[in-house]
Amino acid sequence: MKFHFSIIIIAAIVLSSCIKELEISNSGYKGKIVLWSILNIDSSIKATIAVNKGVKPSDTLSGIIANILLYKEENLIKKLNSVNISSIPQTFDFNINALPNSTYKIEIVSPEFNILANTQTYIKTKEPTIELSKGESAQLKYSIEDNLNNFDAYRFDLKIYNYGILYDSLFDKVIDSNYLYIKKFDKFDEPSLNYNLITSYQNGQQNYTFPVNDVLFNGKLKTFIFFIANSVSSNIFIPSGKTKNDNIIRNILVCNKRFAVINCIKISEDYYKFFSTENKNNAIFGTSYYNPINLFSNVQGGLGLMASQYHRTDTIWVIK
Amino acid sequence: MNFHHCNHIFIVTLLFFTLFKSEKSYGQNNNPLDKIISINTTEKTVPEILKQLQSKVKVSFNYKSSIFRNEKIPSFNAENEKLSEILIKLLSPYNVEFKYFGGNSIILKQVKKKSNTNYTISGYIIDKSSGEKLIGASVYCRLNKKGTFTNDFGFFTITLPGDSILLEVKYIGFSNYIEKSHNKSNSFKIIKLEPNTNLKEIDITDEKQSKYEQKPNSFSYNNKAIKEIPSFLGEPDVLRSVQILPGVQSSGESSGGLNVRGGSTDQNLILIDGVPVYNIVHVFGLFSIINPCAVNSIELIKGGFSSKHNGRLSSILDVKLKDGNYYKLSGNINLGLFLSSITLEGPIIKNKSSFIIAFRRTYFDAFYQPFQYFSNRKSLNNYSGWYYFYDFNAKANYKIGSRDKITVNFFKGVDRGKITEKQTFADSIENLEKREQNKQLLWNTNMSSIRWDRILTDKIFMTNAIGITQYKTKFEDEITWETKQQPFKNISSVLYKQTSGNADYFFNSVLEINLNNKHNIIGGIDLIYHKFNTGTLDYLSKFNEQNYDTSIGDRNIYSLETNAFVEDNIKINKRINLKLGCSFNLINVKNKNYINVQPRTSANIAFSKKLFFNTTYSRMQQNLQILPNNSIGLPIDIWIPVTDVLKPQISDQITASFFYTINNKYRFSVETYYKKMYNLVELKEGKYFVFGGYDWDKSFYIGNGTARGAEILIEKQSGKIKGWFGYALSKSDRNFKDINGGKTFPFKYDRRHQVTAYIKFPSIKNKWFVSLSWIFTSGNPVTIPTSVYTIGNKNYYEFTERNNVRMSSYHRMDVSLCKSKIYKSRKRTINIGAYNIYSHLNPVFITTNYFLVSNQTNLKFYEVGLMPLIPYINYEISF
Repeated sequence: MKFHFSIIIIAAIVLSSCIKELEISNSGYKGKIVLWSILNIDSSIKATIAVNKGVKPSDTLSGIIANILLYKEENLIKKLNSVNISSIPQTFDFNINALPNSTYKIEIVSPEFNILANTQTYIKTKEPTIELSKGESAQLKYSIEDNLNNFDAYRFDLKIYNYGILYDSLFDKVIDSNYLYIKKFDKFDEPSLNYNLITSYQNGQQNYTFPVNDVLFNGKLKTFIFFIANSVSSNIFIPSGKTKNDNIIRNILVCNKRFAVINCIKISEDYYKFFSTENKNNAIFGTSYYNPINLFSNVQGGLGLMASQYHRTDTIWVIK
Repeated sequence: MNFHHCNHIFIVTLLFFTLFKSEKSYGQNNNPLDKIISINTTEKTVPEILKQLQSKVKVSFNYKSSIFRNEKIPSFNAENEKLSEILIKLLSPYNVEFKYFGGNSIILKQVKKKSNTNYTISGYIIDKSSGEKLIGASVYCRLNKKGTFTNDFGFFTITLPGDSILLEVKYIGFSNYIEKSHNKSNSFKIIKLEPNTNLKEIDITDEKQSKYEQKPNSFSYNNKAIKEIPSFLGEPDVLRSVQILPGVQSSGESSGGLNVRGGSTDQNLILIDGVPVYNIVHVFGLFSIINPCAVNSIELIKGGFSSKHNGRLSSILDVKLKDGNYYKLSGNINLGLFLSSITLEGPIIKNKSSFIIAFRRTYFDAFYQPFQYFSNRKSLNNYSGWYYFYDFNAKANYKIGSRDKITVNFFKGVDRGKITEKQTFADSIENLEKREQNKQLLWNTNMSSIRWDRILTDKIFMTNAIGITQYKTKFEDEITWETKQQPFKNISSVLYKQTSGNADYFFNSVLEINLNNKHNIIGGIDLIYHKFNTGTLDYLSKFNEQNYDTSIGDRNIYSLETNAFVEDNIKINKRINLKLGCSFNLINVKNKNYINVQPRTSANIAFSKKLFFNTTYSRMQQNLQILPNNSIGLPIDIWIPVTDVLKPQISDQITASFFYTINNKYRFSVETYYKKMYNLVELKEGKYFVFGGYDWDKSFYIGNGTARGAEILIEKQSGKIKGWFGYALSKSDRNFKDINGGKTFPFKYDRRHQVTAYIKFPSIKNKWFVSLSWIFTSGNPVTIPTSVYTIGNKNYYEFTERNNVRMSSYHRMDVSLCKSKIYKSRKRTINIGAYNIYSHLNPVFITTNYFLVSNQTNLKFYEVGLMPLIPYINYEISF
């Protein structure tokens, strides 16, 4: 293992630090229903429901039986009776597709609880304009017309799918004749997405698919530019290990097929507020820099979120 | 030879011997007035006391018995003092002077009645060895029982009857100065006090004047006292020296700043030679930016604010820098484990003009970088980083005649850190790809000013200043790719930069008028032009020949602030002093005006020589603050101004204090306070402070705060052992309609109990000086979740109450051992000690961990402490 002087310093700090359990006498726990329901146009309406857990094991509610009611424009359209709710989240499918430009409401009723949440779905919007330029560093331009009357926020997920023949690092042996390499979206691929910087985390991994609100382009045509480096180059170098000097060994993928998949998700204002509070709801408390804050919730009497999004997927061929 | 001749010869001989004996007496210095004696009497008349003195000194007092009344003096004490000083104390109330003409007899004579004409004596009190001004020196006339103190510039003015006067000047660490003269006309004096490190105890009951003019709600240190307090890594620190006072707390081990009487860290006005500074810490709070080597004195004021102090709600830390030695070149070099400093001061023109420069820098980065290079040299993929800070003070003075002085002042303090990650991909077919990411954090404080002091008349002192103070922060993240992939070459980079900062351009003018000995008036005006950059985001991206450049930010906010103030310090009689003052504030920002009147009052009542009472009321206004709940995730402060939406913060504070002197050695005080604060702000939940985001000033909740408490302090400032013991009981909370369900919640730094102690022990074998300090505070409140819930595959926390749990108590002891020696005419001092000597790991933050027990998730909270025992050694050379 390579010697790093910095390790000694970090070890010294860690070893000299002290961790002591903080005893909590009165947690102040109150049981609440947690609702999570994101509506997509022309997709089935689903709701994930659970109860919250106290910080002490003895503080968690159990044995809640409730009715779940779904309304459209204040009219009851579906009812799920005597549903058992526990601290383990369960997903319920109403088997009804969400229609565009409609208001939906979910109500959960039990002897102990009565919670309510609602959202308005999107109208279908114009298709985006997509251009792919040619050259060593291609520009993928994705242009959308923003709605002046709404608060909108956009999340992007860009992946480049590369198919080809995978060689070893000496370009000598074929490892796989039909290899797929997926390059994920990098925050530096689209600099303008970095304002309103909100970074979300999934499974401990940093995920740069963050939403951008329309404050700077409300009601206007907005073009997002993604730089796809080496778009016409056939070779991609894929790390496969390290030498004993810590140099990275790379296999070589000779592409014969490449396409980009852009997922553009337009989210409602409540969903955006959820994202904007997400990374402040963290696990380090008591510093002088900031207070942790509650996750945004629009569920009256409970926790969680009911919101709308409009999901669009476009595929753009780079090498056919 | 006849009888007449013998007589003649005898008389001549007698005269000769008398003269010879007198000369011999003078030559041998047998003046009884210089003899050192002690006396302690109760219920004795003046003649009886004189009789005791006679027996001690073997001298007789000749006087008319009618000049003394038969009244008994309840108590008369003097220990190891000169007879001359004892006689001054005893006889001055009776207008009696004494003269010694040789032999065994001292003549006492009552002087004439005072004339009705008054004359003013004014001037400066300075250090005889360096010419430095002495701030707060006592100037007192025993015969008339009138006195004053020198102001912030070492200037004093006192009006006395045109008669014999006995002027006595005192200042801690210096020998007393006594001058007998006849006050025949207005006069100007430069009084030089001799430094004296071997002083006897100071009899604080003898400080009649200072007792009647106690300054409650405040505490002062001189340069020497700051250096004696044990500090972090042996670096004397101004902030740490005030953090061991009752009522003052630090924000924690990992962040600097002061919390004074329930106020937040941005509610303290830090003045360096009258210029406010916005950032006062290095290394996230471990050190302050104020170099103690350049400091003359500091004063912390927690309440009862003067009208001349404006702009913050909770405290004033007034730092006065040295002028520089007017007589000779001197300085010191300080070598520590983490940083070193050099200070140089001296005359530019002797006795007329002086300079001082002080520079210090850390050098840990200089030692660490070679190790990094050594460990990284064979690796194409590595991390490296460095951090350093430095600060630089420069000051020059020029006296024009005896009445004018020009001072130029400059300060710069910089903190900078960088982390670099390098990755290189190289394989056998000579394709190369390099990636380098640099993250850099920088913040700096600059200050420059020109000041003109002028003695307009014997009773009027004027000071004017013009200057600028700035604070800037910058965070950069830059990635560069270089791809040499045949036949293509690609160089790309993205630079992402966040900047913020603020600057004040100011002019102020203050007049101090000694109208008569009953009225001392201060008045003046401050004009400040504020410029704020609340945050700018810049992008520059390059992909081969293509550039993409964008900049986002609400560029600058400007405001013009005017403060006009006036204050009268009134001596009703020798026991009652009143201070009546007012400050008027007008600030214009975004076409909106805020006007406020801030009354300031204070009353001092001396019940006896030992007991007095003080009460004050102050209204304060604050037109800017540090962004609360800093949401950018970086440990730097961003100052935000009032706007047309965000109103100024206001506070009202009343205090009541008692002071009592015990056994002439100890001073006991109890200070109580009650403070209400209005228009405090908290960032709305769900709101994110977007750099230059539109309508950012509408993203706050507005609320109030209350702080109350009592502070007890027992001080011993004389004798072999010195120090103090303090206890503070306090409660501080906040109330926001939209936070915590509208219920009042504890302030983040609400610590119920605080105990502080500082002791300086007598020297060990006349070589080593030992001092220690101890701090204890109750744990501060923190917000921890009351429940956990799952969305998707992630757990989230629910917080139902703000600051619902208390962390463990904080306590720490610091020790310092110091030894000085003169070697080759240079003083060398070695200082060894330890921060947190019994290594109590005080909690800094709380973290969580999940445990799965029988398919149930348990959540546990842990306090994390970071600062164990940290020893140090320092070496200083003074020349």
